[in-house]
Amino acid sequence: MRRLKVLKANIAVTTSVFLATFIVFCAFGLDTAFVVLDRFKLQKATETVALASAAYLNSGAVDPNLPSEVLQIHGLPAASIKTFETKYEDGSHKVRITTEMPAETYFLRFAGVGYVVLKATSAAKTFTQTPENQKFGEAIELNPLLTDKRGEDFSVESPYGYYVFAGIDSDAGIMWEDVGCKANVTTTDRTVGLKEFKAICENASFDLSQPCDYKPYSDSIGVVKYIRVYKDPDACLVQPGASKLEVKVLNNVRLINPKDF
Amino acid sequence: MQKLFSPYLKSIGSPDAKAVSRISKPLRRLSAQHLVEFILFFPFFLAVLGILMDFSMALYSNYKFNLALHQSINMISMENKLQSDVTEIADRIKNTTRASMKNSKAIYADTVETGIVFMGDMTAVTASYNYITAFTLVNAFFPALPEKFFFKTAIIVNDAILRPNYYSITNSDLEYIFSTLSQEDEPEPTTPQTPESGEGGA
Repeated sequence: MRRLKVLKANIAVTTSVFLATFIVFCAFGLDTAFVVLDRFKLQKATETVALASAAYLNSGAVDPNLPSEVLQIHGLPAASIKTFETKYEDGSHKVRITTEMPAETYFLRFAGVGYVVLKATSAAKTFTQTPENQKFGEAIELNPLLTDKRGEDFSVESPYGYYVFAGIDSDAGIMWEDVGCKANVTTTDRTVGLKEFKAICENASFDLSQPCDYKPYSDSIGVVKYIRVYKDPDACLVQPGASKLEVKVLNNVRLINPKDF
Repeated sequence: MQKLFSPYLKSIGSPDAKAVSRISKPLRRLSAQHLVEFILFFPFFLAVLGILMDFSMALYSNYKFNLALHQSINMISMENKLQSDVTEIADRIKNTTRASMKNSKAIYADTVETGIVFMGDMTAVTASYNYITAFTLVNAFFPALPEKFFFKTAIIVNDAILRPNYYSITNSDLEYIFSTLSQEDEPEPTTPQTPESGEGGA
């Protein structure tokens, strides 16, 4: 009889202890999940700010409000930015950013932990891409080039006068557009096969977002997959004089390890 | 218990019948206590289980929602967009996100809405998603669950991804037009050899 009474008390105590522990662990697990989710969001926003800022610096533009605007789009206050560093090294613009944000808890607040401070760091740098197998008259395949509205997108160096075309895949094969009018140098109108194209007689850089006055939709080149350069030595009195054809994509940005900043 | 055993014990006329009867009373009390404890504990257990399931489903759906949005933007960015406009591209992002969520068994996929915010050079694709909680019974005792979770996300993309493209010359036309211009590399100019530069030079 005494043993049974002792057993009864044991069950009650065990149940209450188990229940309390179970509930606390569940609450802790759920709050941890939400904190991890917030940490993921903060890291994503920080990386976006780093990439966007590096791209801006590459184009020579300065916009002090850019990091705050990007964070606000992600639903984070501008005050989240704790440090923001930039530098120019080995021909690359580098950006490193640190952000901080309090993540509110759902259940742990009853245990006195109202929020957890989250931190994220990210760094990005600009770089130049030089595609392989560059020959006159052949499609040069790029790691798809996305044009932006600032700065130059690619450059061309050539021994002879040349025409430049941008291309994209379509259901009917590659489609092309003459982008000579987007060069940063003077061009000459030349007729080839009854059509008029822009011949270029200097090494040049191209900003594809620039409109060409004489062409409708000429600013509607968002994505470029191929570049094709045709040479025409007869188009120029003085040739550009580079040692070989070289196309370089200028507006690439990538994330780097913050320690490599 | 006693009723169960008594007829049997009576029938065999055993002197142990009273002893069994004495033991069965505490056993009966103990069984009742288990039942009461179980009834007291079970609603708590159900509530905690319900909250856990709802939170887990909400988190899972939010993860799938973000993943689906990323996938649709990636997909759209690889398309040529030769015959499109921005509104159509935005609609395609929304529909692809919904389809991708449905495909991965995330619920309430139809509540996904997308928007496009142009901010100069960059564009933000914003999207929202509602997860309506199922186990709201617990809120009658303890306001642990909101009526719905409202998830919002934004992906900043290059404006170029959403712009329609304009290309007008087909590959065969371009090759035909420029077939008149030779694209062969011109031979390297050879430097004339002088007797001094040769091996047998005096």
